[in-house]
Amino acid sequence: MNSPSTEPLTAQSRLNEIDRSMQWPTILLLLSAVVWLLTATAFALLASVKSTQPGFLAGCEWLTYGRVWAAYLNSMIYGWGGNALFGVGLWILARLCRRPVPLPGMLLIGAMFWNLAVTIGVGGIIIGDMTSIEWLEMPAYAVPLLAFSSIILGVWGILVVRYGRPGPVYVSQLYVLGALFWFPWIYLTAQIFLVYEPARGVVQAMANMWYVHNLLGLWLIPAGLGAAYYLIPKISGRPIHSYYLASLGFWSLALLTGWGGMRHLAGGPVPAWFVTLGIVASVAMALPIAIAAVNHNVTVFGRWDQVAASPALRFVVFGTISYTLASLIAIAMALRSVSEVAQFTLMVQGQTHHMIYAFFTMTMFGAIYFMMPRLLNQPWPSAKLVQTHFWCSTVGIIIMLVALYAGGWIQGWQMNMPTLDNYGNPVHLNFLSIVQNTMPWLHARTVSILILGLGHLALAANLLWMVALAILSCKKALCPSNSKLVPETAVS
Amino acid sequence: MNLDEKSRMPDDAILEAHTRTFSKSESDGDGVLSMPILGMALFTMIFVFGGIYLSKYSGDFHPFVFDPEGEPPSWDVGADGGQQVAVDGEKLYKRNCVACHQADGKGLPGAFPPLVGSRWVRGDPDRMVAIVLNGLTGRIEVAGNTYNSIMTPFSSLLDDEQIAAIATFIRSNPDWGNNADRVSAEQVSAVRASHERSNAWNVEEILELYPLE
Amino acid sequence: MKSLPIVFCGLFATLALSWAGILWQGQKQLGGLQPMSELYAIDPISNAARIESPQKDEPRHPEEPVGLAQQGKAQYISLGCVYCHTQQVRSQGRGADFERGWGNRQSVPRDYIRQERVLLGSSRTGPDLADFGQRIDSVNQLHAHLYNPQSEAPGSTMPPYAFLYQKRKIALNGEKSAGAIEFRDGFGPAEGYEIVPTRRAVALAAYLQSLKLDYSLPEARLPEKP
Repeated sequence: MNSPSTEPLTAQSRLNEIDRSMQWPTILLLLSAVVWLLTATAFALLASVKSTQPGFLAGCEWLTYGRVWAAYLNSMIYGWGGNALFGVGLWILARLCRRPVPLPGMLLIGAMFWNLAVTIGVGGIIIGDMTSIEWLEMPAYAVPLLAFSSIILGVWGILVVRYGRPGPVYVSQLYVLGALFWFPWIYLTAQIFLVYEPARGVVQAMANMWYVHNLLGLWLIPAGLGAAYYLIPKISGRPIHSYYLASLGFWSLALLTGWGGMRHLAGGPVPAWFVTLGIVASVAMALPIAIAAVNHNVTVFGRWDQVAASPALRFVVFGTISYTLASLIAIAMALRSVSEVAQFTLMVQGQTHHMIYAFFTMTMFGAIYFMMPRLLNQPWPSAKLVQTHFWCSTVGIIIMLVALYAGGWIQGWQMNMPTLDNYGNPVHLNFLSIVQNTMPWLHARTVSILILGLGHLALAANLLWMVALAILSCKKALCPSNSKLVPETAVS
Repeated sequence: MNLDEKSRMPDDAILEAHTRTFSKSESDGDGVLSMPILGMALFTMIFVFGGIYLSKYSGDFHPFVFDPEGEPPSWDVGADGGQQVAVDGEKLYKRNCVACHQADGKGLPGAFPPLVGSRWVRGDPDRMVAIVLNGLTGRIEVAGNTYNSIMTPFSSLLDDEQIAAIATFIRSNPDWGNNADRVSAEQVSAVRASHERSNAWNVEEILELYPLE
Repeated sequence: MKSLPIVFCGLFATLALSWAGILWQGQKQLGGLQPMSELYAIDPISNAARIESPQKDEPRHPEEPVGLAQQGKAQYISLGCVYCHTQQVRSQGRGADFERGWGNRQSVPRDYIRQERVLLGSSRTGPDLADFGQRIDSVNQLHAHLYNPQSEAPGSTMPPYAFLYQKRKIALNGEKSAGAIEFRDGFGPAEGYEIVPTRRAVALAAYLQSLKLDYSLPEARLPEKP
């Protein structure tokens, strides 16, 4: 509680200056991220209920399962994921470049355009204009705006680095820069190959898997890793285990990720060598995964009291442990003998959620818990709500993952592997029975989404409360942003 | 839980610790050499696995190998993966031959001999290829009628593959009552190479070289 | 940051590698595939695919999809059917796609070249549809299934697409309209009413009927019929 800040005073005032320049864009991005998170949770809940009760709200075309599911994916990835990534990533980048951001107004515009584009896109999906291309469902009229705003935000990220104070490069900067630079490229490439000048035949499917895999592996994951690499030493006070390995981890991840997507097409109508290459790249990911595991987890190992005491660190550490687990499962699922069963089942969804929720989202929660007090100059009002959020998220995601992995494995086994009948002939279980056998697991998924939603509501309530307190204190002090009221030693 | 958490490491410290690691790596041999043995082992294992797996299941990087342990198909579609469609003999026939021999292959009575049911086009493919290459003059008897006109040479207009496609189309067209062997481009080039001449054949010359069966 | 240009070269090169390896190379190998007849491939003399001349009227596969099926595909896309249905038959011995009757041969890249949007899908909450057209017994049954899946597949979790159908009062003379759907007992509309597919439902059914892997290609032959 009373531990003195370790920042020297000049550094502290510089830090305040940086935080102030990033204040409005970051607050906008993080608040809209939370709004999108709640939207996505609502869509997910509806889709999950519909997958067990197909008659639920079935008369409404706008809420048919396919559209609700696509709306969920897009509001989760671009709404929550994109906003959180830009908010957290740009803020970390500005801090590590140790200069205030030039023209932060442009960031504000970029953030507004991004949210406008996602709103248009998700609305378009619901009214039936979706493309049915996985993770690119937004209709063509939302695409230019989304691409444009991602370029604005990306260019500003580069400007932050370009005009930053010269000095060493920390691995978080690499991760954030990579995510900002790669997104427009993979997004526009995929749009061109799939929508504007559709490629011939299965080249489309390959472009789609390349995009899906890279969106996760070269956009969301780098942002999560970058945030973890920044927050873990920052909060724990211990340097990460090995900086050298951290760089190696970044570049091997950058090199290998792009190839991994082809493993999803195993057995499908693509030449075998693409799939084989994808599998090799996926297995080789063991290297960056091991590096991240060592760097993140060894740094905090044995300091569980510290992890428990810090609202931010507990989320981040949960996230980094999940990263290791999710990646190992991804490697296992890449192998042909495993993917023969796991392909096309709930396991794929499970693995994606392991990465997007248990790793990325939890890490972003941690970053939000660390950043918001510094941006609003107002501590979190309720520890109980933070506790609620953490435990709901933890329990919820564990239930969901167990349900999807176990249910998916059983589903895949029954779908693909014969059993012997009384006469010793191989028979396959009737398809409708397999569907019925997934029901308990899908009910568990619905329950888990409810629990997660409760946690998200706790976060939103805490955040609203905090904003309200900040506005009140701001009124009292006649707005601190143009005075020197930011206490020099309070936050850093 | 401590809601008023402090940062325990300033940004500068994070960055500086980083720099120290890297400058040290040059002087003390830290860096590559400091990579733990386990890391090196992992790296080697990945490398070996990748090499073996890729060489075993690459399917020769062939576009038509879908089974990872499969062999490329016995029919070869060429390096372009079958992008060039087979040279279309029917199209070429329509473009080059119908003016005289007509679309139905029956020719024009009294002027141009028919190809339908003609002994000249069946049997030894080299005869027909030779005629297409260099043309033909003189009195010729086909299917009971006599014709006396000139066939133009195509050796400079069509390549081996195209002549082979036309010959195959004519010789194996079931609608015309022909079902002779197909002709390959190699056969055409062999005929082309076998005689050096620029003028058209006489009917007698042809029959001497390639008598009717 | 002094090393910014170097960092950018690195960021560019790492992604460019997979971009070139997958998209460019894929486009090079598969981007020019043409429809082919099965006979194209076997030339007994040169063993080459390219010299074969086609037989007259020999159809080349895949054939151009018809307009109504294309409109139906737009419905399939707009309703998000792809989230539960794949359209790819995996090779024999991988999983049980053949044993489940989802196809008699694996699907290959050439099967998709006429499709403006390729919907391979990645989830089999429902059965694979690559060869679905051959499994449809009657259009009426298909419509009944789309209207209320429970009538044809009890226990299915497929959502009902009743909004693609129109509920109408039967004409005074008691004659049903030509397109009215016959339901199994207990699944039909109330007495005096009939269910008629809208244009969208007709198009969707036409699309589903058009999904067939009933032709051989040189690289994927149907098994010989006994």
